[in-house]
Amino acid sequence: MVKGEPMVAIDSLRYTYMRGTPLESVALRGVNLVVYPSEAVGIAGATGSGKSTLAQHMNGLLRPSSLGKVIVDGQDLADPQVEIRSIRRKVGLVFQFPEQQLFERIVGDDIAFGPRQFGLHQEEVRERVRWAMEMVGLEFQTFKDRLTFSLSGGERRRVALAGVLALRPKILVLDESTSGLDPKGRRGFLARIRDLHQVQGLTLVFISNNMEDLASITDRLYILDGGRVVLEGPTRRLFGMEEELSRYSLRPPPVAQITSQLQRKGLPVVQTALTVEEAEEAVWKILSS
Amino acid sequence: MEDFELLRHITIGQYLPTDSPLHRLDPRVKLVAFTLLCGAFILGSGPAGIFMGLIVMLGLLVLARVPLHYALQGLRPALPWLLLLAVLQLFMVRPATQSDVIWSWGFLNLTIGGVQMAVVTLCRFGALILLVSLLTFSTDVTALTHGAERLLRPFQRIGLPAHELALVATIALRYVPLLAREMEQVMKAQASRGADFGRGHGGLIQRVRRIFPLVIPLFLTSLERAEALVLAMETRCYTGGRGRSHLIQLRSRPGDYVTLGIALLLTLAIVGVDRWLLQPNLGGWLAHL
Amino acid sequence: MKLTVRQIVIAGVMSAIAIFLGASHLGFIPFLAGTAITIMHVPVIIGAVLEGPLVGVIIGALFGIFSLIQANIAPTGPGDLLFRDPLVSIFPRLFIGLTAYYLYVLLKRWNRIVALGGAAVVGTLTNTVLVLGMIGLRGYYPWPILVTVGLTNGPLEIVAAVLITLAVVIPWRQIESGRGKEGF
Repeated sequence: MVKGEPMVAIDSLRYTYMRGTPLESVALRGVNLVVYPSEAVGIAGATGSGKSTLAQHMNGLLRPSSLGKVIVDGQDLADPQVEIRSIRRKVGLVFQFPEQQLFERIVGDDIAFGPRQFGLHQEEVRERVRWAMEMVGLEFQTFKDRLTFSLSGGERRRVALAGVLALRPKILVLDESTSGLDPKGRRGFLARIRDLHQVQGLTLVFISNNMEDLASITDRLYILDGGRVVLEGPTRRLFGMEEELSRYSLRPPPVAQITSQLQRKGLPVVQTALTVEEAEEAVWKILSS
Repeated sequence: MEDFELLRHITIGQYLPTDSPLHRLDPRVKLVAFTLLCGAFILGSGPAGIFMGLIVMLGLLVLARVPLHYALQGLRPALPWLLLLAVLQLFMVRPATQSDVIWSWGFLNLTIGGVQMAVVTLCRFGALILLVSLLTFSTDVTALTHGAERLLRPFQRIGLPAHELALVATIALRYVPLLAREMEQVMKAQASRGADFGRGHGGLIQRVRRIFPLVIPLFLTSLERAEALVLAMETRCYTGGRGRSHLIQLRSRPGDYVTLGIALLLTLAIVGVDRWLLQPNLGGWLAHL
Repeated sequence: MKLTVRQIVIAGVMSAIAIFLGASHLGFIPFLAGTAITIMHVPVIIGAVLEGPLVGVIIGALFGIFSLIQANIAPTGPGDLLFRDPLVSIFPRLFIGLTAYYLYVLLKRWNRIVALGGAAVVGTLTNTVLVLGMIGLRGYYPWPILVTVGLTNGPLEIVAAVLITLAVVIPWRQIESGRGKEGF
């Protein structure tokens, strides 16, 4: 598998919030992480493990202090000369409950906010908005002039995602972006994300505690605990390590647990299942042998 | 480097649960004592009184088991302006007598009276800040609002909705830190798509519109949350304060009455000590201070 | 005086916004080297327009009290020291909600948008005129200076308040009508 230069390379990253005040708290204690182009990498960990802090380093919202390196698309973020805005164009960061960032009255205007901020001209902006809306499944003509706040929650979230996509980032970082969606909404959202990754070739960093989401999207997984990377490897392998995961208050998705349990009982299971279909296949193989 | 932590340096309002005798007092007593001493510091006292007050405050902070250096940090944000005020007073006070003047330049006079005023002003502010810190360090918000509500309850007979007002205050106080955290996230999300909140450029309308991505979500998210809270309260059959019983009953103990007495005496002392000292035979002594 | 649940909650939430704007300096829009215009009174206007005059007074009172506390403990500028006086910090703020609400009700039947804008104008004027007025009546600054400050900052603050009020209340009414409540 040809990997090439990493898109994101993080080395020994440390970060402390509220430095110098009595309320200071250490969020990252030396994290090493790489993301290669066109990969879909997951980051999981209990609340407070430092996932969001890590994500915010990837687009320059937080800068590394003297300790630790963050290199994004070849640029070293510790270098004060680096133009942060160019990084923000390349790395799109979608926060939890992204619909909270909507503020323009008209849907099209809100999506166009990013491109306009970067000084793109009218036609280019329009094209970006059209593409972004297509990517999230909001029909351009129908939705572009709708009133933002008359949309449903799910639609608003898609508008927010479109707003980030309109910048045409090379890499998309999603921080708990399926929070609060009903199962149907979640499946739709994930389908679009998967599409962006597989069809458009977007590099993905998917941060979540939802194991099923991670199973369906990511190839490789990092597990964070207490500001450190404690487990790392292909998603399929990590989800077979039930005992290890439970040490960090995490449990593999139910389908993976099923295959693991079958394995423990000595039954012939080829690989840890990541989807319902795979689990179905594994059970069928056992029953028919 | 952009600093997104909005409430970083505000130490006032922090509750420190150190379980001291001060913590165990009835909040009504603390509120009354606070008001008395506040009045004494602002309205009543001269140099000796303020000095005494300052010593008492420091002593009480020790009694409350609050680390002194942390309490003194509360003075930090105000310091530049206090010093400015002090400098102004040093030079602008009109000399009482010719012997008062230490040094003169044009209309600026450095007088003994000026020095005295400057020192007193600094001490006054210091005492006030420490007093407020003392109250908030030793009393949590719930206790404070319960105390305030109980104190205002007699006014309910003339139509003042004490309970409802206390609830408004509680909601407001609890919501502020939440708002700060949310706004921090919105700020980051908008910055991630290229928003520029920097000091700037541009006409008034431009500047106002530049903060829209922050201010509009600020209001709208809050209003939506308010709706959720209203729904939650109504489904729990909240009907207001009339005839309402209370889970937490405030009962005064002997220690509370003693404290009230001490507070009263202290107030009288702080207000009165300067007048007492201003008897003719001590006047000369004062002038040498 | 009766307060509905919604009034209590909106009063609390809007007060929190006013306090937050003050405590975090987001409430100040810097303009022309040194001066800044404030938008901290806008929650008072919005609260009054949405939930009535009583709510407006309560938010104004809480805003004023916070103003007083901040001036006494953490003054952030030379002007702040003026707000140590409750007649300057609390008294004027009680009226912002009242004037905003009554003008809104007056103009509402004619044109809602103009009514909202008018409420913002009147609310801001009340704040500026009464605060500067109290400063003058208490003798802290001479009238000519106060009038100059009022004429330079006043219109700017009015424009800012109108923009924000419209940008918040209009979408909010849309959301409410989406839920089957009184629409726009």
